[in-house]
Amino acid sequence: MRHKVLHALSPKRLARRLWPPLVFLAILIGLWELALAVDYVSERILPHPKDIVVSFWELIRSDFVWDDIAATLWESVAGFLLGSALGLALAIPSGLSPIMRQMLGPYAVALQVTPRIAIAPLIIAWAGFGYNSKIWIAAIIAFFPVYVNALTGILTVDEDAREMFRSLGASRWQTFLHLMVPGSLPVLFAGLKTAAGLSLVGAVVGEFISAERGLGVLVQQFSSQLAIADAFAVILMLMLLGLLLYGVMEWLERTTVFWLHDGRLVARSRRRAARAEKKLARNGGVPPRPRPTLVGRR
Amino acid sequence: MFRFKAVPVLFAAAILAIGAGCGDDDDDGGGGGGDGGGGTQEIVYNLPTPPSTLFYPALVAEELGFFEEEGVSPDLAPAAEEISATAFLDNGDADVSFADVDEIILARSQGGEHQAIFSPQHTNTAGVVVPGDSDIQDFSDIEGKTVGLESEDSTRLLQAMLDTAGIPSDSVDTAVVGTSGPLIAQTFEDGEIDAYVGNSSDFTALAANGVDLRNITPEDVAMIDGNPLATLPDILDSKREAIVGFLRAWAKGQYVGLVNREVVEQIAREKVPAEWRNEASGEAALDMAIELMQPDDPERIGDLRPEVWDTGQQILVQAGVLEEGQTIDVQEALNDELIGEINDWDRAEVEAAAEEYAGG
Repeated sequence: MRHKVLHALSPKRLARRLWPPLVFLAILIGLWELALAVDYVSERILPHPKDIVVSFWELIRSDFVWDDIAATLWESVAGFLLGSALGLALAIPSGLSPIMRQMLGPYAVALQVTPRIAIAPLIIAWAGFGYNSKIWIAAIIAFFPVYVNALTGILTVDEDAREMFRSLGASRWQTFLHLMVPGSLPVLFAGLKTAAGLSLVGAVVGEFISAERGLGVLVQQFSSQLAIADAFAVILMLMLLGLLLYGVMEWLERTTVFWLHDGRLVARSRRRAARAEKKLARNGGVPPRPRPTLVGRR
Repeated sequence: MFRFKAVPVLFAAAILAIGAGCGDDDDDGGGGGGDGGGGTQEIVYNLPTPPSTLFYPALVAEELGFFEEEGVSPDLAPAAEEISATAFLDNGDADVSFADVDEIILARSQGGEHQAIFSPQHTNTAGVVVPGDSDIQDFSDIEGKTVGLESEDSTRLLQAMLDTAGIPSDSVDTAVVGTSGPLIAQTFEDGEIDAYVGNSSDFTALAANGVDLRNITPEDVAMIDGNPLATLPDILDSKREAIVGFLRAWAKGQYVGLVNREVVEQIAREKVPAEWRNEASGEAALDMAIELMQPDDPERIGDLRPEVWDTGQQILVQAGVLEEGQTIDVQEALNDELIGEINDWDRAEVEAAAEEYAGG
């Protein structure tokens, strides 16, 4: 394991992985500086990248920005969890029952096509000024991708596998738990990854309309004061937060839906084999009686 | 076989989130609030901004302990212009709300019982500016020009100013450019707009950053109060003591700005450091806030001026926002019975508290 980590962090490997995005960043910064140098864009609305980095560094070293980061992160995470929970709670009955699907489907789509920015002030008026309203806005935005992907995952479970479960006499619950849930996870995680980013957008939309603190508030404050490098630095923080949320979901996906990732599957199989060998040695060479399972182990 | 390890964790997290989304909110406006801890009374007030130098009296009152002295625990409910300040009173989300004169007049004309009880700014916070070198000398020159607007809401103010000046509204083009300082400066520089209708705070920030501007707001519009405080009669009945305490503390904070700018700056720098990242903007915002909060009579901070409200109503009628038959009795919209109590405190004591803070 340690060998693997060291191998992944070897300078050669790191350089191979990092050079494409770094080259793209260098091109982007070059074009950016060129646009400023030829006055294509005014420095008033587009600061030099160097100034943004300096602002970013100064802000993260200041005390006040951390409260705002914490506020936005909390609203995003809570909104994401709430939206995901609601999406799952509605997708599961919709997936299992055509009536429920017909009943809920149109409203879920209607919610999705309603411009959230238009209803955000109303949500704030209903849910109050504190964190609740921002959490609800984030949740409403995060809801749809989770609902649609979970529903798609449940509905597209392999028919042959479903037939096999039926022929083995599996109950509805067993079929749901052992076939539909694992079968729908890859698609569900795609929705969760989208929802994680969208929940951050929702939180910032709410903060733009009504908030005491949060990165959205800071962007507005800095922008109205013409502290444009600071405003860009806060936008950079928002991007990093978005990447963090996405990264967490990616990690969770790799851990949960391990069979889709060869490396993880191999590592898991090795761990399992090692455990079995140990057990075998403890039993004096007699293999333990296998636990009865509904379907064969992968 | 698939193992369900992560799902219970996700499920527990979701339950927690639902709890957070549905439960009480620490930061919540909530409109109510009775007795806070230690015998203090909670009061929820709505402002158009988060805590800001622009509304320094609240920062000063909190830092110098004026709210505590008055036994009130204020809870700020900030909301941008997208949400009507009077709606928060109607919904029970706030006890008192810093609204606009036109919002209160329109709310009353539609049957609301909103009353203005305190008016800290005796100058309009909204207006119209042009670049310093513009050929537009006063508002009457605006005909045929393009006017940038802070938001769609500013259309009402522009319409009123045009009607007062006798300029047909279809003779000017408008474009919503928002409140972003850099964008406003750029649109001026590119000649995309000739004038901008917005807020004093935007003008001040632009001026502080080297954008030379000239204010051409018509005089009768410029004298209309900015952000008078509104409430509803039943809230006033049930929370009179808390409202008076809150406003007395506010008035003390406002007074500190009139007599000791340094202390206000010290407090603002500490309470809202983000507003001081750009020093020039911070200084200009504080100067403007103090200027806007200069009372006509220092012994009657927050006094209500019926003649200004009459002018405000006339402008709304001229602009066609208010029908002739919908006009209100301005006297009924203004309730100045609290002004005496709000100003009943020792100026010398407040000055001493500010001095002590500066020294400490």
